[in-house]
Amino acid sequence: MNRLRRSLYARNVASTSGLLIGVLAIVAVVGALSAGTGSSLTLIIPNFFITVIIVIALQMFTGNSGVVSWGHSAFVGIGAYVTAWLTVPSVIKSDVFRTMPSWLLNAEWSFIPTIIVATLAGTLAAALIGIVLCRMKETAMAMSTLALLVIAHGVYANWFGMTRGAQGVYGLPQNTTLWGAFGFACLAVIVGVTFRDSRVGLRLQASREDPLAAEATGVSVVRARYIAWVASAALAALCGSVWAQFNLAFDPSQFYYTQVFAVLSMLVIGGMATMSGAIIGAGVVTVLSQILYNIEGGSLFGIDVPRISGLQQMILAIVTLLILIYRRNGILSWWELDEWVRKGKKRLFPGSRPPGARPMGDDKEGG
Amino acid sequence: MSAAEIAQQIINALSLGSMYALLALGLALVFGVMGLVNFAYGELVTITGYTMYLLTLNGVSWGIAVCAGIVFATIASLLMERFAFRPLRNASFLTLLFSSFALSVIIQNVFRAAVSPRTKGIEGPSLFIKAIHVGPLSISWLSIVTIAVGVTCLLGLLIFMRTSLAGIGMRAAAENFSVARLMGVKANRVIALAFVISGLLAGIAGVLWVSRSGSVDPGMGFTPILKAFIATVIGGLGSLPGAVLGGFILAAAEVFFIAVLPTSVAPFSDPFALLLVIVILYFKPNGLLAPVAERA
Repeated sequence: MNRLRRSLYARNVASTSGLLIGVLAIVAVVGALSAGTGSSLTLIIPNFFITVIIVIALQMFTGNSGVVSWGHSAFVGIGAYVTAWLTVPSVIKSDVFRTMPSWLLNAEWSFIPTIIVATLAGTLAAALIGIVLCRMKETAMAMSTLALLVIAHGVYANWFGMTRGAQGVYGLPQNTTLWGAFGFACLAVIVGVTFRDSRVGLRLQASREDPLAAEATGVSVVRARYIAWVASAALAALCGSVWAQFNLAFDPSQFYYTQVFAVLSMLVIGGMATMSGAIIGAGVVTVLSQILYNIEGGSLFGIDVPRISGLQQMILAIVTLLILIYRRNGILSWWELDEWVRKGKKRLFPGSRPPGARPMGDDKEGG
Repeated sequence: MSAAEIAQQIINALSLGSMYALLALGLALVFGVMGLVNFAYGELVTITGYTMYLLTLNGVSWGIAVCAGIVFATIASLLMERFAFRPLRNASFLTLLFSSFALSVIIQNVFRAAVSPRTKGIEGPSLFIKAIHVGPLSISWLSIVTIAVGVTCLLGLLIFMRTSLAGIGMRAAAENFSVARLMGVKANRVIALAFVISGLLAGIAGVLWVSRSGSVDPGMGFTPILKAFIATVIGGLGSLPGAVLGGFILAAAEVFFIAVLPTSVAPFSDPFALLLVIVILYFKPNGLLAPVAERA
């Protein structure tokens, strides 16, 4: 098994993550060049990297297991609130958090330690909730993640002393830079690709294709799901921490179903079976949203357009629905970006190296 | 807590439960025949609400607005099936779920763009606010109407499903779709019928929902779909009696937590109710009345 796996996948991990990081690096360089020009790219590009982290987090769980999770926004929220507790300057803190214990009031942590603690907090929460969630059937688990989202939102919106309720938190220091966001996005890519081809990842994908058959061949579906759940929630909490230190203020409505829908639509559009799909999806949605945002704001490339509220979300949903109807597995379907490149090369120069291994349960041709 | 207070809370739970049961039934029916958890189902409630809002705003009487609201929800449900879900027949659970989620976002934003992103008030008949007093109890007419409508619909649906040919066909399809087709149940017809009944139930529940909240807003469909989804899962997805039972259990849990929690933690009553639901699912991962056969 091990030898087989190595021959099938070892090359893929390196080439997939290498190519994806390369693509992200080009985007980062564009972002660096736009710094100081006053272009909106200086905001969009770091936000894109942060989006990449959360999409990869969701891909790790939903993409590999086939079980939908609405609950990841809850972990983004945990990451963000823990970050706020640790980083907001003491002067502002006493005003924002009314019932905060005094030892926490004086905490003014720096970037990396905050992220580590915030990630650990999310991991711990997921580890506890996962014990209950992961042994449910797929549909019940999906529902329970939705319940989790509502529970978390209820806590964020009502625990006034520690979250300032619906008014939200402000005053976080801007610790996340363009390169910081880029670094964590690369980390997420490596974690995601490695996980996908790890022992647990492969088992999880087997259970996605057929839970009963996977169980019958000795895969503990519950265990595989649990590990993926905790790992992806950790990444989601990390994303929340990085995001909070870039966005500087937030409120509970930013961890609710609108965000969940946005992330899910990225996965669906790009193709949730692959890491490249997640990233391409994030890219497509970011670009599309930006264009639509400008239309919604009343102008497109300098041309005035009548103001339509909700247009951005509506078009995004229509694109998602069309993708689901006409290209069910997303833009990239079952292949990673590097595999597409090799497929293209093979078509152009017959006789060159064959494309890499395909994921399990692949019964459809892409394209 | 006195006996009268307990009786009062039981009536509250019954009234809320009837509404949840209606919502859950509509969702369970569609899941039964095509394995789709229709997230856009909550938007049928929104459609009913906005139809009523726009009509009453233009001077149409409340009764006619209610009928129109229910009819529109039914038509919308049928259209959803035809244009969004028929191309996806036999798709995986996940694909169906995502597409219904996308559809729900589309409908929400149509209202946001076409009417207003803001909450709009809507006035019901003045009778609903009045209450009758029985001894120490005060029962609002709205609760009485809700319970009456709920019981009538449940009985009507029960009779329909048990005695009519179409109803029996639908139950057969819910149990095993391919075998039902072999026995002569027409796939398109039974699915369309399920969507019609589902739309009808959503419309009726929508009228009650709007009368209760007294307002409409584009995102209003999220709460009803959430409650319906939870109720069907507690009861066991695919089981119709389960959906009804789940609706009442969820309502009872919510009313109970609102009644017993001290005011300092009162805002957390919904999270507590949902936690209870998760605990139930921990012990019965397939729901309380799950169908015996494994769905292929």
